[in-house]
Amino acid sequence: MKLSSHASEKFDVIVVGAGHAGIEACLAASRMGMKTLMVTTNMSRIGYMSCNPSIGGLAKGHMVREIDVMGGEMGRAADATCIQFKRLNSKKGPAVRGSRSQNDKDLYSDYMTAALKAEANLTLLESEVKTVILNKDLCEGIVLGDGSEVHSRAVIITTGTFMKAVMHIGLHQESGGRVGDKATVGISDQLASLGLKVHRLKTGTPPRLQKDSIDWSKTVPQFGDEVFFPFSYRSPRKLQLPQIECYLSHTNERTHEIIRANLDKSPMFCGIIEGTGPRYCPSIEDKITRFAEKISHQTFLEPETLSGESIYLQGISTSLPADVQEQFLKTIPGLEHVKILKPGYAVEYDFIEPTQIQHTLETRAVAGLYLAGQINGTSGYEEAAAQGFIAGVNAALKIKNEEPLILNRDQAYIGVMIDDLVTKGTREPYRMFTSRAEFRLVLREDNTIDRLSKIGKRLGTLSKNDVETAEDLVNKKADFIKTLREKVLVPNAATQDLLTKLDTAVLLKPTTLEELLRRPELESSQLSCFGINVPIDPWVVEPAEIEVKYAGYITRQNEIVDQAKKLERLKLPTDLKYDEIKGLSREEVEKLTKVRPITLGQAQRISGVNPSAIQAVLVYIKGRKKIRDLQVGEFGV
Amino acid sequence: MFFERAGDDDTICALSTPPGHGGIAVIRVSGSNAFKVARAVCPFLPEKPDSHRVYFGLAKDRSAQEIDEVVVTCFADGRSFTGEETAEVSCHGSPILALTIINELIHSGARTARNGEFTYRAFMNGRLDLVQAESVLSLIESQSKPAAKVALRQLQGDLSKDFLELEDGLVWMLAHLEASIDFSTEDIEVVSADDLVNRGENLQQRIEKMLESYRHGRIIRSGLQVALVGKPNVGKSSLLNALVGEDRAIVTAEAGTTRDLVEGRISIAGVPVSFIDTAGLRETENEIEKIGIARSRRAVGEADVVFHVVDETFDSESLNLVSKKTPDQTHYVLINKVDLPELSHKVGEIESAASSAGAKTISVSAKTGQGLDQVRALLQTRIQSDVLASGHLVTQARHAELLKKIHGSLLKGNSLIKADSSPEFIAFELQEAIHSIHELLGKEFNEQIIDRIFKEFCLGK
Repeated sequence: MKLSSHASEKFDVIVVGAGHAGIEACLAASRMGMKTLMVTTNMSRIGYMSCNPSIGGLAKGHMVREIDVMGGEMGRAADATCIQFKRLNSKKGPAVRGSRSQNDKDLYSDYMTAALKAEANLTLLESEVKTVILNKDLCEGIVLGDGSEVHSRAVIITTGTFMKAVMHIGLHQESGGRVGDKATVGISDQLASLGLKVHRLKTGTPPRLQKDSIDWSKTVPQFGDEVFFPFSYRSPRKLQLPQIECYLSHTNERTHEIIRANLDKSPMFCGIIEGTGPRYCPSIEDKITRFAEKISHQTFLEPETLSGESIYLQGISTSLPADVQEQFLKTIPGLEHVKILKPGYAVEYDFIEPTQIQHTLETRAVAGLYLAGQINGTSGYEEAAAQGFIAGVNAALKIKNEEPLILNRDQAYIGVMIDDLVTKGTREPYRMFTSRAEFRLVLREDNTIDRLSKIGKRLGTLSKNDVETAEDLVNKKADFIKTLREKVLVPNAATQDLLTKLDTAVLLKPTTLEELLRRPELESSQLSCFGINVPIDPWVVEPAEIEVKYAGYITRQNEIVDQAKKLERLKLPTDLKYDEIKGLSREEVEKLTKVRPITLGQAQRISGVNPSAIQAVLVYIKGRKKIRDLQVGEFGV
Repeated sequence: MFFERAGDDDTICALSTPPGHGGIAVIRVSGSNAFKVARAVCPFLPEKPDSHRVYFGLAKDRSAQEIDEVVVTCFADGRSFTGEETAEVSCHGSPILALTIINELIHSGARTARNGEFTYRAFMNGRLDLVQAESVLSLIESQSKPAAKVALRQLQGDLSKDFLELEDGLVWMLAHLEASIDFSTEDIEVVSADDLVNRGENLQQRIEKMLESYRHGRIIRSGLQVALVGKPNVGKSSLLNALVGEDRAIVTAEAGTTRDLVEGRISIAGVPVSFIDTAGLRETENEIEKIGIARSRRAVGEADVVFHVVDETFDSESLNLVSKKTPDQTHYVLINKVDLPELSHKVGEIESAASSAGAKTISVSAKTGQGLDQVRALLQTRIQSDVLASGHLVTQARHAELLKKIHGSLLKGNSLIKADSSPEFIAFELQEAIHSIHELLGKEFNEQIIDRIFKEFCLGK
């Protein structure tokens, strides 16, 4: 790898930004053989966790696994730097479980920096980027802070919350995307001048507290799970770092009184911030206003690193003035004498309305220009990384003149997210939820390899060894299910005796082990007493068991998927003149023209486009070919 | 697809009154060139006709030969049934005249409308929702005043409103359930299991009421079916003739004369009532009679009201002829031939057998007409209760089918909640329910459904 201070050479792909989106974009492109340049304003903040020190969670854990199976890095980085692991909702059904790791944020950043530096095709450069170079509607490179130009065939912008960013602490404002880091100016104005719609969003982060100033005895320790399931099938199965505890405390009525009395000093509440905040990750000001009847809110105290002194106060994001923050924090048990290392603050930034980009994440207006991450209106590291990966892959595929990678909604959460963004746009920071996936029952963490490992193989983002490991896991799972299906138990005395020992009902008729395993009280490991070989590897047993136990629902879900596919198969020409189609309302014409859906299925998902409009579009498309076939003599009054 | 060949910007025309001879015939022309096409045949129309105005003049063919004196009603784009420019040409009611005018309209650039295409266009242009479009069909087909009234109310959107409320309720449940999954790691209770169960049961009850109304609705729409059953030669055919007031069935002294179904119709309170005289139910070796008996059994199964006709030959087997009583059916025992003195000592026995079978008895005589008014009054009461029950009636089999599906999904969902199952499975059942209500309302695009509905229409509607 080269650290160039200037760059006169020509690249295939330039990635602007070194956050979670930028990293995956760089790695995917360079692993696919692209000569890639990463430009960041701060080389020491690569893969930095600007907010919570954790990866994954409900629906987000799904995406981390999806990225991993296709050859991305986030999963391995999270596994390697995990300091507490939890599988959320582990008592609930398999579709709503989510893996989450607490991470040492410094080690995470180090891991990612090393991963980037290990790529032969990748060059890292510390510099500002002023604008992109445009040749009509083609993007051909970037202009650096010193005015020099670097040329490329594709540019991926992953500037996160940094575009025209303004930080707010109370009524005090300053330019900047994160404490200590400058805002990016220029690119969003340039995009706006091209006619792209640019809006404002807001996000916030809680205060960071000094470890030693906290009275831990007044908090409740929270332990991680005993069993560790790495995000990546390529990671070691054992934790690599010592594990920590997090601590639980609660706000109370006094806390809320102080906040309420100072709402006029919160920029969100007195009208200074115009951007929309995340409804799903509300500030404490939001929480006590919206849930006024609730007299207490929980907060987790999470160490940001293994050895450092900084504690992240999960759940208490705020943009109140620093002195008010100190005042209300001291009402929380354990924080009576707290010292604030860094007060919470809000950031307001530009994002590009994502209906202006395609499923490949290339902008419709400028060929070769890709956008990924928070610039598209999303929130969260995982959402960003997933887009970065897809943008990097598609930039490379386009340069190689190959078919783009577009994941379907029945294939991956990543597919759901991108389709949502480009079809519906967003008015608030978009966060992934399992409820956004209409085919949730077949998009589980446990079957990610089944769903997506072939893609990693095709792209060349995985090593040969990794591809083989994935194939091996898929085959072993299939073999195990086959064994369960073929092994029939007859209700003889020996069988009934074993069943009784397992605390389950005796058989009334010959039964396969597959059917037996559907009994809620039984699990795979108990079946070895019937003379079969039960694999030990949880990456084999777990997906197999879930597939067997929930077969009824999975089948029903797959039937619905097949139904939906009919509309997805009907491709729409992107140059369709919707204003020529009769039966469409003006609003429908406007929306269809703006989004330019690629399938009839996507058209149906645009809000405000009615089923009759879908019928009209279908009639128009089919009618264009056959309209004149109609015979006059058909009527028979 | 059904309409795939129909160009969406064509101007279409069709005869909109029933074919055959009549006072007048109306030909409807709809589409972006409707006025232009109509003016080619009716040259007296101005360049830009006023909407909702009637023009009178001579229709002429392509060689300027006069066809007929006609009246043309014009409706501007956006102000007609279809939502398109429309001209309705009324000519004298001869099939030849109408055909000539239609041929001339086609010559001038219109094409024949396909079945239901006018209503289809109204749907496509957002003038009607799917439920309303179906009610147009009901309105056209309605055979009674009450049926027309119900169809009109549906067209005005009453029923759609009920369904929309049901949709709201389902969406509320799913939204709250989903939020409780999304926020399951936060310490807020979005919705309690009890609340969900209660709301689910409430929706189930509403659907049950709608399905109950379907029974009434079907009667109003298709009329009341009354089956006459009984052993051979108890006088079923004579009763039918007496009730209908004409000789519909052949009556002889020979048992087994009626071998097939005979139907007679009257109208009570504006609702058609069909009496079905079934072949006498008995063991027989005669092949023709056997088939007739099988048909009888089927007709009895579909009837709303069943009259068991008995006479002096009554025995313990007389009321066991109908094996299954469907839950919606009402059964009566008609004691026929009360004019015969030998019956009088049997009446007590019949009445006690009837009451233990849960049926009321009425004494009648086909011969003298005794008791027939009582039978008609009874049917009238039944019909009036149906009409009165018609708040917002479900009349379409399609609606009833989907409502039953939604009911089933809710039932499953609720039992999962009570069993403390994982929320994604409960959500799955609710998604199915919402899918069905969307199908019902036409909110989800599904060409098979749209095709099926519009295919039922006749030409010119």
